[in-house]
Amino acid sequence: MREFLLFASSILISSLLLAQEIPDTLEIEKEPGKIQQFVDRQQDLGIFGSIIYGTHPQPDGYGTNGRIETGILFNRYIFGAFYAGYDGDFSEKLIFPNTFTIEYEHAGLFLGYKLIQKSTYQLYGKLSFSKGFVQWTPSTGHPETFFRDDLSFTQPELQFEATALRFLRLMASLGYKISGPFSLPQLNPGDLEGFYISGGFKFGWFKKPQP
Amino acid sequence: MRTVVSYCLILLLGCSFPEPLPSDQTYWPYDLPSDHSMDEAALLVLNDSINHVKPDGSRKYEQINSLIILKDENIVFENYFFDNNGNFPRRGLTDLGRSTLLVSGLALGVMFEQRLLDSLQTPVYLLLPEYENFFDDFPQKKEITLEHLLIHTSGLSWNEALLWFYSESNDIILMENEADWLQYVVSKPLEAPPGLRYGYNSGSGLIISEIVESVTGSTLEQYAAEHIFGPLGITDWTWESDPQGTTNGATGLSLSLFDLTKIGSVYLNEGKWQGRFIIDPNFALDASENQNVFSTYFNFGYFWWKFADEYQPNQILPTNDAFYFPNENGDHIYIIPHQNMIITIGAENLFYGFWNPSLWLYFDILRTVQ
Repeated sequence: MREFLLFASSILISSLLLAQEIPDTLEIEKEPGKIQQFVDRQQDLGIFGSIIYGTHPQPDGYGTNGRIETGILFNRYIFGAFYAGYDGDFSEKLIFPNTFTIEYEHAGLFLGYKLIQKSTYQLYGKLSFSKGFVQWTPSTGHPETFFRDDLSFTQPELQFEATALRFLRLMASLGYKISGPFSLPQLNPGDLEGFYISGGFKFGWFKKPQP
Repeated sequence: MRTVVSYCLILLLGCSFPEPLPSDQTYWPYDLPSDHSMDEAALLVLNDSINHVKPDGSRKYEQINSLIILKDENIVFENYFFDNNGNFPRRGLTDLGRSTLLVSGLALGVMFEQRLLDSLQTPVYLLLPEYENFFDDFPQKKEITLEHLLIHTSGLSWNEALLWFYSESNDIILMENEADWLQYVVSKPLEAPPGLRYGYNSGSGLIISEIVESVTGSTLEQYAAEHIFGPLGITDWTWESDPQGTTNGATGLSLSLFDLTKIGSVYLNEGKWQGRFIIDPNFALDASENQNVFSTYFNFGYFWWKFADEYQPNQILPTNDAFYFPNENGDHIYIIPHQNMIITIGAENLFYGFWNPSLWLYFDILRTVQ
């Protein structure tokens, strides 16, 4: 994990240093005093998949979450679908002496808008909405799971992307997780709400920007 | 745009959601034992010892497969254990065997609550018109009352308690080989005047079953379904009948141990379930008191067993008000009113007899009460 973070941060830093802004419009002076403006000449297109790991709120602090995405990049917009789940180990003795661990999974859609566009990095504002389930899963002794409810999350976030290779981008996000209501013993929606950070990589086909 | 919508639909269809869960019980909240004056650490040790297999393959508490502790109307312990055959029970049905008598007895209590019966001193033969002639062979047989059935002093010759339950000489097994089980029970000769001598007789459950049928017009199973299982939220059970169609009120019921705990709760709460009287409160109180005192080990309430005051292990607690029911398999239910506590133990240790691992476990649980 430490090696990955070192590698990711070195890529990010070098991307920032080498970055050039790619304008949405290009102004060309064909004749003296006659400027023609081309709008949206940078047709940014792509289809991608992402693998993201993050640290998200849980009742006693923060725990690991995983997320996979697939989506489409079109000019300044990205949209797609994702599947995410809790990968932590928060547990309680719900039915003494049996320990139960939190488990939640959710899937949904996201929509993003490119706020900053440079040649080697981009910053997106992104909003995800998802539905799924949350449950206490017996980790010792008790044979049955009884505690489950529907779950929904709304997640606004800022996502920074750095182009590492033509088909690979590195990502880092800062977001806020808002949970919909659910009813489970010893777990409240507020326990899963709060700021989170995550990192990962995006891979796929990205149309090469026109010079 | 259509392509984009189709793309999103395909993505969402790929996401699967889990099947509905089995419903949890909603009658009692869960809580930690330490919040109810029980030593949590000691209970964890106990839990480990139930699971622990010694090098020689034996265990301290042989063949215990379930343990439920209800204290102050909270479930403070519920666990299930692998048995020696590697089976792992759930909250499924358990063959209650002789513990069926508890529900048959409860049905009598309901009939008193509904004023369908007015006295435990009612002679049984009056309530069994179809079998009245089988009471003619001994003059005193007609003196057998409902109470005699409940405290095992009917005087009928019955060989059950001193034999292994599945012995071919056991009257329960002999009864089950007959075409009319109730006829087998009531045609047994009288070996002592009713009320005089203790003789454990699960066949009384068959007599009660027929009484319910003749008084209410419903079989014991139908009557229990409406007036016991329904109010208690018990939805899953099986109940055997004899070849004549009479519900086997002696040994034929299968319930989950969780639902058996509900039956116990009605007695703990003096006839009430969730604030409503299910059975006559006087019947419930009397059922848990000594009605037949005959031994230095145990005595009887109405089908319920009571520890004798002289019985040393019983002195773990300052008050001897516990009543309990041990069946032949080792499934035991213990009710301790002054602790507001029910302990239900599931087991398959049928070879041990009276002094068995379920009883040892009960005493060790009592030692965790602070």
